[in-house]
Amino acid sequence: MTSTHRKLDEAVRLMRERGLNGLVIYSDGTCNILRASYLHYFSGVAPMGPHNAAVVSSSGRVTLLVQPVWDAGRVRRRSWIDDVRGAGDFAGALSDALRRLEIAGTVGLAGGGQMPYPVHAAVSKTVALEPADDLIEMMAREKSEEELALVYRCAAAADAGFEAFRRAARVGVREYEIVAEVEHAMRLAGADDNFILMASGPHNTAMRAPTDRRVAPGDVVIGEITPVCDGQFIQLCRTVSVGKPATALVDGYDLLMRAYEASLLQVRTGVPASIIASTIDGMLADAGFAEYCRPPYMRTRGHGFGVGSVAPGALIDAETDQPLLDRQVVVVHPNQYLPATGYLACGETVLVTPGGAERLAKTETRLYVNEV
Amino acid sequence: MQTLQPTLRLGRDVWDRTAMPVEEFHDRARRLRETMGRRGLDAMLLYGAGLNGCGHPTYLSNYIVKLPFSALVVLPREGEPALMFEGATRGRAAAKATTWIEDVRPCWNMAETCLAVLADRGLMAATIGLAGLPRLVPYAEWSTLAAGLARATLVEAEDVVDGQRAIKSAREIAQVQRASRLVDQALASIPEGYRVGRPEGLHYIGTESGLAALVMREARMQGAEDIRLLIARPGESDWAFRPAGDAAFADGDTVSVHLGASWERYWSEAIRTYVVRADRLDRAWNGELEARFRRIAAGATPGVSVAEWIRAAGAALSAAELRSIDPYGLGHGIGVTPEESPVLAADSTATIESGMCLVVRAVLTGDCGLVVHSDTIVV
Repeated sequence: MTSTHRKLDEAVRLMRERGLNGLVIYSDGTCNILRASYLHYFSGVAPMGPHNAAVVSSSGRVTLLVQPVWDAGRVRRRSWIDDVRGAGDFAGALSDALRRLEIAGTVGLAGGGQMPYPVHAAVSKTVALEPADDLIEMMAREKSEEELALVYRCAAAADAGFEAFRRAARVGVREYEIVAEVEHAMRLAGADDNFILMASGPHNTAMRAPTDRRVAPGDVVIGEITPVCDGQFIQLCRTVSVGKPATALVDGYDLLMRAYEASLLQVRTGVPASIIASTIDGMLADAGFAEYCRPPYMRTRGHGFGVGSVAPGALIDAETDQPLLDRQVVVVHPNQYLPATGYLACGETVLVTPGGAERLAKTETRLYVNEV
Repeated sequence: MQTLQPTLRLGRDVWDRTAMPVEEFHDRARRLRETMGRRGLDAMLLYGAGLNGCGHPTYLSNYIVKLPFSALVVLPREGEPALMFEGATRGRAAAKATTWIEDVRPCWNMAETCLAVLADRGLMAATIGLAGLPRLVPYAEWSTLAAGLARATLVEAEDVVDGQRAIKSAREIAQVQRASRLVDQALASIPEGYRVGRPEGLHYIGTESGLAALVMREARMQGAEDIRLLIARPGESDWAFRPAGDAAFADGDTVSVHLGASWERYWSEAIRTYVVRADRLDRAWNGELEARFRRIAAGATPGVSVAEWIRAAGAALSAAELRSIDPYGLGHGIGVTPEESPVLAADSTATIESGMCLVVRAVLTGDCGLVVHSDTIVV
C-alpha cells in the first residue's frame, strides 16, 4: 500500500476538500460508451469480473479489489496500484479493506450507479456512502499525455477501420461481413475494443447492428466507426454510396458537410459546447430542414468520450452550456435523416485546443462513392 | 469463464423465426407460469444487466441488450407480459423486431417503469417472484422498487428461471450446436491463418492481438453475434487467462485460446492449445489427450450428481492438472449467457440432466507441457 501516483494525490486532495474519510471507486466490469468506467480511469486497468473497486483512504493508502481472483496478477502488472487483491467474496473483501485502511464515517462512492443493492447494503453497514462521481470527473477533465497518446492510437485505428469499411461496402457483401472487416482492421491497428453501428439500403432511417442484408447497387452504406484503446475512444461517421450517387444524395451530403465545417470552425477552448449543435441546427434550418433537427430524424450533434469529457456518449444540444475545455475529445457529427436521402453519417472526432479543433483522423470527411 | 466485456454487442443481429419461433417463447412462458402457480406467485420479475447478465429477460423475450444496460420482463401469471429495457424511445422499433412481447417500454428509470407496468396490471399488492433482483439491481433502483412495492409480497424465485433455463429445448440445443460449429471453425482458422497468411498482409498473427483479430474476424464472418476471447501461456510459471496483448510469439511457445461466441442469442465456448513452430501454430493435441478429455466429459450423464461428476473428473486428473484448472473451474452450464446454471463445482447440489448444455474444461499434460482444453457438450 505504498503506491504513489498523481491520480492518488489528486483523489486525496479532493477527498479532504470534501471532508471524506475514504473513497470507493466501483466497477461492475462493463465498458460503456455512455458511462465510462471510473475504476478503469483511476487504476489504469479495465476490470474483468462483476465486482471490482479501488479503496482509497484520506491518508493516501489504496487497495484494488478485483474479480475473478485469477485476474489479480494481470491487474497488478498493469496498474500503478501496488496492493491488488483478488476478491472472491466481494462485499466481505470491501468491508475488510475499509477496516484495514482504517476508513470509517463518510466515504465517497464513485461508480455507485453500477453497484448492486446487496453490495451497497453490506458496505453501508460499515460506512456511510455518499455519491462522489464528480471527484473522478474533476480529476479527468484534462487529458494527460498518456491518454492523448491513446487517442492518437485510436485515430490511426479509426482510419484503418474506415478504409476497411469503404473497401467492404460493395455489392453482395453482407452487413455483418462489413463489420467483421472493420473490427479486424481496427484490432490490427491497435484497438482493443470497437463500437460499430451501421446500416445499408436505399433509404436508411438510423444506424443499428448489422443484419444478413447484402449490399445492393444504389445503396447508401453508413457507419459509425469507433475504436477503443485502453478506455479512450474516437469516432468517424462515414457514408458510402454504392454506385453513382443521386443528385439528392450529393446535395444532401454537401449540406451536412457545410454544417459540419461551420460547426468545427466554432470549436475551441472556452466556448459553450452548445455552439456545436446551434451552428449545425442553424444551417439545416436555413436550408429548410428545421423540423428535422429533432429525434427521430437525428440524435445528437456531438458528444464527448470517456471520463471527464463533456456529455460522454450522450448528447450535445443547444442547451449544453458547459464550456469546451482544453484537450477535450469531442465528436462533431451532423448525422441526419433527410427526406430525400434517408439517414446520412457525417463527422469525426476532434481535440479541443485554444486555437480551434484539431482533427485526429487522417481520412477525409466527405461522401465516398464505390463504383458498382 | 469471466472475460473482458466489449463496449457493444456489434455482430450479426438476426431473429430467425424458423429456428426460434414465437411458439418456443409461448411454451417457456407457459412452463414458467405453471411453476408460478405451484409456488403461489401472481407475477415474476425477470431482471438482467450487462452483456453477460441479461439471460433471464433474454430467455423469455428474445430481446438482447446491445450496450451493457439492463432489461426486465414482467410476467404475470395471467395477462400479457411486458418488456422494459434501459434506452431511448427510438430503440423501441428495433426492440419490437426482436421480441414476441407486445408491451415494450424503453426507459431510463427501470424501477419507476416497472412500478407503472405492475400498476397497469393490478399487481401492486401481489405475490411477486424475483429473478435477478435485487442481486443485480443498482442500489438506488432497488430502493425505489422495493418502496413502491411495499404492499406486495416479494419472494426470491430465481431458481424457477435458472432451473428451466438449465434444461434446453430441442431448438435451444440446435442453436448451441450452431454456435459450437462457429467456435470450432473460428479456432480451426488459427493454424491455417498463421501458416498461409493473406496477400493483403492483414492477417499476420505473429502477436497475441493479431491472433485475436484473426479469430474474431473468422467468428464474425460465420455470423457471431457476440464474442469473448482470452489468451493464456500455460508454459509460463504464473500463467493465467487474460486479454490478448501485444506480445509476440516465439518458437516453442505454448498458447491457449479461449473463445466464446454466440449465434442468435446462444453461446458456445471452447479452449484450444497450440504450439508455435517457426512459421505456424500447431494444435497441442493428440489421440491420448482426446481420449482422456472424452472420458471426463462422458461422465456427465443424466442422473449423475454434479458433485459425483466433479469427484470422478478430479480423479482423472493429476494433482498438478487439477491445481491448474482449479481457478477457472471444471465447467458450467451455457445458453443465452456464456455462463449459467449449473456450476460444475464440488459443493453443487444439482444433478446433471438430459438437455443440459455444459462447458467442460480440463488441463491435461501433453508432450509440450500443460494443455488447456474445453468444449461445449450436450447431455
